[in-house]
Amino acid sequence: MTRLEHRLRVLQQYVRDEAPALRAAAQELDGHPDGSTLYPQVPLLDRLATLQIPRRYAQDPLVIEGHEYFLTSAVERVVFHEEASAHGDAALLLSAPGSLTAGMLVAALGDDAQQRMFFDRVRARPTWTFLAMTEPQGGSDAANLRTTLTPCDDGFRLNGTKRFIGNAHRAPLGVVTARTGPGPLGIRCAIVDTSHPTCSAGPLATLGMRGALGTLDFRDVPVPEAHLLGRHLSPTRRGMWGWLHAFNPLRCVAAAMGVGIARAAHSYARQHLPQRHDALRRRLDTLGARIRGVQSLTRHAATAVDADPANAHLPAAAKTAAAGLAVEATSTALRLLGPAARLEHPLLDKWARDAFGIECMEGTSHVQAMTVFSALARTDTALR
Amino acid sequence: MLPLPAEPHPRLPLRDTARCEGPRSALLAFHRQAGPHTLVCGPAGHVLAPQELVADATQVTMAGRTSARVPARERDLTSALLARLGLAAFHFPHPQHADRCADDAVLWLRLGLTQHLMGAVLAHLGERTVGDTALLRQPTTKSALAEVAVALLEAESGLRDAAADGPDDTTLRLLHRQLTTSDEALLKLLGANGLTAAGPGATAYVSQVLADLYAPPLPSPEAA
Ligand SMILES: Cc1cc2nc3c(=O)[nH]c(=O)nc-3n(C[C@H](O)[C@H](O)[C@H](O)COP(=O)(O)OP(=O)(O)OC[C@H]3O[C@@H](n4cnc5c(N)ncnc54)[C@H](O)[C@@H]3O)c2cc1C
Repeated sequence: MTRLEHRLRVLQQYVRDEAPALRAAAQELDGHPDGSTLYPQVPLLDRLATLQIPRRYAQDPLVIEGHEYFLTSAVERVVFHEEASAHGDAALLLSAPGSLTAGMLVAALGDDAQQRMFFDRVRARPTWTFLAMTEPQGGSDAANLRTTLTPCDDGFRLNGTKRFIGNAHRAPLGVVTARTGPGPLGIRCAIVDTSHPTCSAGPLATLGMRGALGTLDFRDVPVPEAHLLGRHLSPTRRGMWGWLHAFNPLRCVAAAMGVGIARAAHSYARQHLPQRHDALRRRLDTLGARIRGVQSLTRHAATAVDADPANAHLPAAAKTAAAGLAVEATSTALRLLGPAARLEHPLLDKWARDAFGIECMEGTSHVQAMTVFSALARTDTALR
Repeated sequence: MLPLPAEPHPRLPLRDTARCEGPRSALLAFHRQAGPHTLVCGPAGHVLAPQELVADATQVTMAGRTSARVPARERDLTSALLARLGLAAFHFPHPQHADRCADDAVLWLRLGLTQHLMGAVLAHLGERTVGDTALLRQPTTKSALAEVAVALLEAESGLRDAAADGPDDTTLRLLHRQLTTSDEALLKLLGANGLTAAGPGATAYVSQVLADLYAPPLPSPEAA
């Protein structure tokens, strides 16, 4: 699967043609003192906004050369996000309207009415959404979350604070994880409308992925019973262990963005390095070989997840490798183009800052390492 | 911070300012060492300094040679991020490049900044828990922090043992990379808190810009 089949190459070429328009917009967002208020209109992102919706609820797939793309398989998402990051910009993708993360949970846990309600809204016009899990006291320890959904006469009241949430400050709705009772089965997901006056959202000033992240604060925000996801599922399937596998495709997407950032930095350096500098060019060749390896791993992971959504270790491995690769590629490119490459090549400096964001998205490398180890322990008799 | 049982060194005050007070104070101390109204240039003529120093300085110095500033010929390179941190950067069209970068002051400063970052990481992880245990007590966290501590001891030993006229360019480049690698490892331990503009990640960012502007450039194709 490392070499893409024709249908995916057509998608890849479409994104490659459209993505360069993201660059100028991304630099504008990065250089803006308060990037959160800005959202540049780029046709590729407007198109992305109404994709990634399950076929049943989607009406307008992307059609290129007679091929239809819903962008709901991990492989299609990986091809799209890698190419848009390599020829455009990963941070701008994260700031884009659409339902990448929240949609994944709604698709995994929502009943028909909930999915229709959520995806109809996303499909009607480019709409930002969020998936709010991480809290100020820590994101890795998801089982320890403090946000609560307390039953009341007309449903639930939501209380708590979420931090580092993609598009929190732009989105009118999203999915929030909160505790309804003790233990992992007591952690539930709910669709939340942020228009209620006791829900406040704000941007978060960051060094990398600028303009993408925000915070959410909920004080007795009413959540109707009908918005609690997984009502029709058994307690184990709707509790935390039931929905964790929804993150496997997302990890592939994060990995694809890391590969994309690495490719962007690599080709930028190749373009700007003097032709005659053979020694430095050879270092770029080595980096290129590593990029191809991680790209291949990411595509394998996406294929594996499409075949078995519970496959966790390949996405975790790809995400870990890609996070390291993005940092390595951007810092190598800066070093080779130095001195003062960070200031003379602002786009490269931006990608180096963005690269660190990949490390934390969808769980840090440490969390991924635990997943990889679990798979290792299952296969290696010596570890049992 | 793990101290080396070694003699006092003239650069220790600079390192300690960086460690205790962070990037802005360290940059003030760094440029003030060059004398009043003077800014220190990197080997290709770049300067990073607190905005008020840039506004006030009348001359720049590079590898011991001092020149009057010519604002009309300078190129402002201050990015939005640097401005937010109260810093300014510019390029001074220096007539000749230094043969060597003998000045190791930037490395001592960066060493102090990495120690500053380490302090922030220790404080941050000490407050966070996984289940009932502090994150700081997790074996992987301990080992990652210890590895950085070892790298910092190695870097400081390298700086102390350099020849009287300073480390050679290869050593300077190596030490810069070691410090950058340590910063990256520390940033990972901060999770997304390492990404906030107002948080400790900014210390690592300033340190990386310093490496970019003040480390000796890679050999040119001719020299290679
Ligand atoms: C660009 C970006 C986009 C993001 N988007 C979203 C989003 O849309 N929604 C959302 O909910 N969150 C989002 N996040 C947050 C992300 O999910 C968290 O950053 C991540 O889960 C880690 O949590 P933390 O930052 O609180 O770090 P912590 O959990 O505090 O971890 C700090 C450090 O300790 C390590 N650590 C943690 N647990 C252990 C352990 N048991 N043993 C050893 N070491 C450990 C970690 O690896 C890390 O190095 C985003 C983050 C970024 C950077």
